[in-house]
Amino acid sequence: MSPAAATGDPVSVPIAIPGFPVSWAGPGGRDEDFCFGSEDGRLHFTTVGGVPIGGFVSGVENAEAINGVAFIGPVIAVSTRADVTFWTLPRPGSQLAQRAVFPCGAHGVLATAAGAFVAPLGRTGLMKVRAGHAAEQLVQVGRASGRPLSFYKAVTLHSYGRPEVIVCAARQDGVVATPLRTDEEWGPLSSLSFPGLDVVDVCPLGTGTTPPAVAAVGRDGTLVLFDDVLHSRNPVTLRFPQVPGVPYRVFCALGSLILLTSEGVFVLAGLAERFLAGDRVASTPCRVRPVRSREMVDANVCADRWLLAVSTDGVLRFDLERLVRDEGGERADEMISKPEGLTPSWRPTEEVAESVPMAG
Amino acid sequence: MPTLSQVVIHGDATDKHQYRYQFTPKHHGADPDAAQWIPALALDDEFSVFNTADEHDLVDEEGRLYGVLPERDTLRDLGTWAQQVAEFPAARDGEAWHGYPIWAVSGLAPPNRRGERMRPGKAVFDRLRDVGLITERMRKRLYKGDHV
Repeated sequence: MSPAAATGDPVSVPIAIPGFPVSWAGPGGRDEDFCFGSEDGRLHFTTVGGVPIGGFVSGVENAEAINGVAFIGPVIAVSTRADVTFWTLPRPGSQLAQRAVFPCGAHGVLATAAGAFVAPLGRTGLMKVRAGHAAEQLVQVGRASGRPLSFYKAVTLHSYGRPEVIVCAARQDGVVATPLRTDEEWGPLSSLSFPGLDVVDVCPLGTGTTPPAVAAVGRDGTLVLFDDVLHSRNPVTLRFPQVPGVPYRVFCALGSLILLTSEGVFVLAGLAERFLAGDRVASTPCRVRPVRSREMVDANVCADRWLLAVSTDGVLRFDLERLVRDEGGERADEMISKPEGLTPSWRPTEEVAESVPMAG
Repeated sequence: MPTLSQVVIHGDATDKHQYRYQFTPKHHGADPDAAQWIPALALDDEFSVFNTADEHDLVDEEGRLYGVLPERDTLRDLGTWAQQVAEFPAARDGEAWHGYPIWAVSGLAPPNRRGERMRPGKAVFDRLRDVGLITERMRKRLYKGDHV
């Protein structure tokens, strides 16, 4: 009997990893792989079907909980609240992996299309380092020259023919965006916020969208939709009061937004698609469907096909197409929700970033 | 609580160990580079975080106490940078304790402090959950540096 049939839910499938307290779950180095990080610093890899492929033990005493993993070629970047570690897998014929540690805590780590790792370091700044085999890599920490910003979560937007853009959820500093430079410098930091806003996550809207469109979510449930995160000064701002809980993550899939909150997973059907089409989403009712399951802790999208969610007792793999297309879930709780459109006094800032080079 | 220009000793001691508590200017507006208690948090509420930490023995191996302030299904912000956990380093015998909100992730450690463990450790978060101040969901998030 397949796990899906056992639960009776075609949308979500549990992935069991006995003896492995999962703290992070997300894409592996290939589209057909998943990677899991543990609360004691281990990595575990499976196929998308949950079949184990291998694992990785850091050997570090009292290792911290993993909160991010990213891959570029043979290099794996692993972030915790204490540091960012770069593992270079052994070359053919060798058994030894190389390890380099950047001794600064991060809230996650991502790989850019340009071949660099980027990590939000909270109040310390934004880290970038090119992946490579060299024994020492130049780690760059960028921060606003005028005042400290709080870099909390980060995504990369890659639009065809345009520089890659790093967009960060920057807590009370709002949404911060900067074009990624491939040299040792940083582009300007453009931020947009308003009093009371506490941005906790961001996600790209669409792939290859030109200009770079982004959704952000605030800790009070405020949703901010940018059609151009580098230049928008009055993004669409709204809230769905009927979506309960404290927002943790926001995702875009198949034209819908998906919110992960302390109360569960909520699909805002078609919201992203309608926004990008120019609809007045702040005043148009939206179908909101709760997909409550086990208590959710965090989640990541994998290969635009799966939502991998860490729960209090394991991991759930959601089929994104089924999740968004309304298969399974709690249809009885689905509601047509009228959003609360907001017109805050946005405060844009443009800051010069200073770069502090450090050896990795 | 607005900024303080001098140390203020709270009128009560903790219920369990009779620790005295002081509110310091450094963490109440005087030092912009130091962690700051959020101005909207009353002094009595700040003391309650400390008192609760003492009551439940939320202590690490070096005697530091840690506290949170539950509010409905989340935790109140304790610091101006949305910190949700506070640390109270052990005071010498007879002296009043003090505390401050702590960052969710560590800053760039100077060379002589690299290798020090991130605080609070797993055991403190486990204890916070075991005494009912946070849920397992909150524990897993806070332990990896996320908000709740």
